[in-house]
Formats: sequence, structure tokens, C-alpha cells
Amino acid sequence: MLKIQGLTKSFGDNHVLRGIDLEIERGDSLVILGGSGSGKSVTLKCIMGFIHPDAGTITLDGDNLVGLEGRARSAMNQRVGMLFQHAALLDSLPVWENVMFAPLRFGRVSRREARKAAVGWLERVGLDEAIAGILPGELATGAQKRIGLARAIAAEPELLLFDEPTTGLDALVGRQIDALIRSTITDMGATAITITHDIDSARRVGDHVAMLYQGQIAWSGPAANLMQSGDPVVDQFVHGRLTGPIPVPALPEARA
Amino acid sequence: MINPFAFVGRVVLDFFQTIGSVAVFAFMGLSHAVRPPFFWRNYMRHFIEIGYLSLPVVALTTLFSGMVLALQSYSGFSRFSAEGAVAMVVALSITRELAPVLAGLMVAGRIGAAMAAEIGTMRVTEQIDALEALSTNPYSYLVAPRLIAGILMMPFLVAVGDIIGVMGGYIVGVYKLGFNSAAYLQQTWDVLETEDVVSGLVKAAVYGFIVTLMGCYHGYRSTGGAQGVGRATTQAVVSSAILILIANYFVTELFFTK
Repeated sequence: MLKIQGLTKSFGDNHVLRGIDLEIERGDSLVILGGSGSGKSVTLKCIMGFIHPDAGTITLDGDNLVGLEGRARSAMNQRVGMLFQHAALLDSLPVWENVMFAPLRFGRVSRREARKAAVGWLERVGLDEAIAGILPGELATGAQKRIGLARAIAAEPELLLFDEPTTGLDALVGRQIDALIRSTITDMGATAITITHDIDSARRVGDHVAMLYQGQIAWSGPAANLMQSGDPVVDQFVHGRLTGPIPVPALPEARA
Repeated sequence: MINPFAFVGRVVLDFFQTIGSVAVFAFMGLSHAVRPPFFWRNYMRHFIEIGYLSLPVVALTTLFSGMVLALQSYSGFSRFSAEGAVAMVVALSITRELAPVLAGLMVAGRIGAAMAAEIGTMRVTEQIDALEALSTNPYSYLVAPRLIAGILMMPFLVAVGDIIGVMGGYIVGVYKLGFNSAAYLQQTWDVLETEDVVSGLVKAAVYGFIVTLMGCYHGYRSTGGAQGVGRATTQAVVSSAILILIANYFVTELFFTK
């Protein structure tokens, strides 16, 4: 189980997180929904240890994730897989080395075995063996995301984090990525957190959804209830209304 | 209105903060060079990048510097009938000063800029975060191999540059200025002492460290997308060049002040 309690983070006078409390059962998929600047990415970065929170605790099956450094952080990160917003593949390494980076890094497999295993992971995310030897920069964004997903799951982590998985993708490829994420979570039985502002993606990927607004959880519940939450903030956000509790900057009137 | 004391104070504080920040970065990079894990492929890549692929530019620079030096010293020394000192001037200038400094500046432009751009791009595209997520310390993976390659490969480059620079002087001296070939080489051999060559190689190691440190430091700390990477690249080259020239004085003083 992943448990977040009282997570707080400020950057100067900007109070991004104001006491987040979340509990995610093992094997459950939680989507954190929210607008730009609502603190979704900061929450994810706190879980990954890229940012140290000002206060609060994060535990994975009872093991602390906050303030870890060096080997303790390294050991914890082996239990966590992450798909970055823009895939963040290492562009100096071929696709297969990207996929098998962590197993190779810890000497769990030889390079020959790794290449073979990488092909298996690539097939699992719907990619052909032919791309294994090429550099990621030569591939389309959708393929890069799939490779990022293959890399995230190749170490068979307990916790999977997905940072805006459908950003920058067309509707069809986005749908494919969502389906892949969903099947991966189910097959691996891993706990998953996805952050997104894509409502359709949230409903496809999540078992539960938490709406982040002004640094706090405004609403949480089953993904199936998202569209009828009864919460005015969620309601405005998911239906894209310009009026409601979320302030929307006024635009200059269009010229005739 | 700007308070001049506050302004000066801010500049001084920023200066010391930068020195501290660079020192900590250098310590982190070097400390990860002596403790596992070692990413040998990365070490090999940067050994080849610095030591082998920089050879043509260093060779050309030192060759023509040696040739120009022979011409200039001949024309200067002929004013007081000291043309015979050409071989000596070429050998000492090349080994002590020109080869290490010119190689340092050339490598700063070629390698320092590339390192800052590559690491800066990795920073702004979250590849460095990805490394951490994959339980890999970026200092071990990115910084240590570059620093060690710079420290070890620059002396090799300068040793080659020494030979080519002296040969440049020899070519001009013998084939253009009419010196006797054997006498020129003998004079070069006689005048050179171990200290001359060693001081140049020590300078090279220092410059190799400076160039790679500045490339890694500015790249690692770059922010703000493509513009930030561009800024980091410029800063890496400019700060490397300035530090090389400053370090040149102190290393020279270390070796040659009696």
C-alpha cells in the first residue's frame, strides 16, 4: 500500500501542496487529476524523491520514501518504475539498452540476455524487434512513450508512476497508451499512480480518481463516479465549464 | 534607488556561492570516480571523444603554432644576430606554454561546449531525473567519466601536440630558413629538460579537469529549455577559457619560480 499523509510543499510564497492525504491499495490504480499548476507533478516528484517535501510522510508498504539519499534512495527506486511525460529516454543509448537499463546496471543480466529480454518487453508494448538497435531520437513520440513504458516495467516494480502519459499524443495513440497502461497494471498487479488533466484518459486508466485543486484533494472516489461526483470543482473541471469555483482568466473578445 | 553597498554585497555573495557550488560539484564528481559503480563504456566513450577525436584539431593548431613561432623568432632574433636560438625558443615555448594552452582552449571549444550541451539537454528533457529513477547516480554516470577522461587524455593530447609543434618549427627552420637538420634536432634535444615537458603535461591535466568540470557543471545546472542550454554552453566555454589562462599563471609559478 502507498500511503501519503500531510504532504506539504512550498516554493517561496507559492504553497503548491497544502497537506495531501492519499491511500492506494496494492494493485489499485489511482489517477490524480488537476489543472496546470495544481501540484500534480510536485506530488509525483516527492514520491520519486526528486523534491523533498516540507512536511508529511510517504510510505510504500510501510517503508519510508521521504528524505532518502544514496543507497537507500537507489534501493527504493528499484521498487518504483516511472513513465516520464516526454519519455525521457537516454538518447545516447539504443532502444534495447534504454529498456534494460536498470537490469543491466545492477548486473542482473548479461548484455546478450538483456537484448533478448528487451525484445520481449518491446513486443509487450506493441513494438517490433526491428527498432531495438536504433536510437530513440529517430522514433515518433508515441513509440518513445511505449519504450518509456517498457523501461518502467522491465525492472518489474511494485509501484508504477505515469506522468501525463497521453500528453502530446493524438487521440488514437493516446488511447493505445492508456490500454497498455491498464493491461500492464492488471498483468503485473502493481500499484499505479497516474497524473493527468485528460479526463477520458483518467477514466480509462484509473480505478480511483483524486482531484487536486489549490494544493489539496478536493474530491476522491471511484473513477466510474467521476462525471457525477456532485463536487462543484470536479464538475466544472471535467465538463470544461468556464463558470464555477475554478477561476478562468477572461479572454479578450474576438474581433468580428 | 539601488543601494551600492547592497549591490556590491550581492555580487560578492554570488561569487562565493558560485565557487562553493563548483567546489561541491567537483568533489561529488571526483568522489564518484573512485567508488563503484563504474560505467566503463562511458569512460571509454569519453576517452575516445577527448583523446582521439580531438587529435586533428590539436595537431593542426600546434603544427602551425610551431611553424609561426620559428618564423617570428627567426625574424626577431636576426636583429641581434641570435638566429641560432630559434630551435630553443620553439622547443621551450611549445612544450611549456603553447601546446598546453592552445590544446586547452581548443578542447574547451570542442569538448566543453559539447558536454554542456549534452548534459544540459539531458537536464531539460528529464533524462537526468530518469537516471535517478533508474537508481543511477548522475555523478557516477555522467560526471565522473568525463572528468577522468579530461584529466587523463589532455596530457596525451599535449604530448602529441609537443612533438607536432616542435616538428612544425623544424620544418620551417630546415626547409625554409636553411638550418642544418641534424643541428636543429640536436639543439632541440639539448635544450629540453624533463621539467619543461612535465610542466606542460601537468598543465594539460589541470586544463582537462577545468574544461570537463565547466562543461559538466554548466550543463548540469542548466534550466529553461533550449535557451538555457545555449546559455550553459556559452558559459562553459567562456569560463573554461578564463580559468585556463588563470591556472596557467599559477602552474607556471609552481614549476619555474625558484
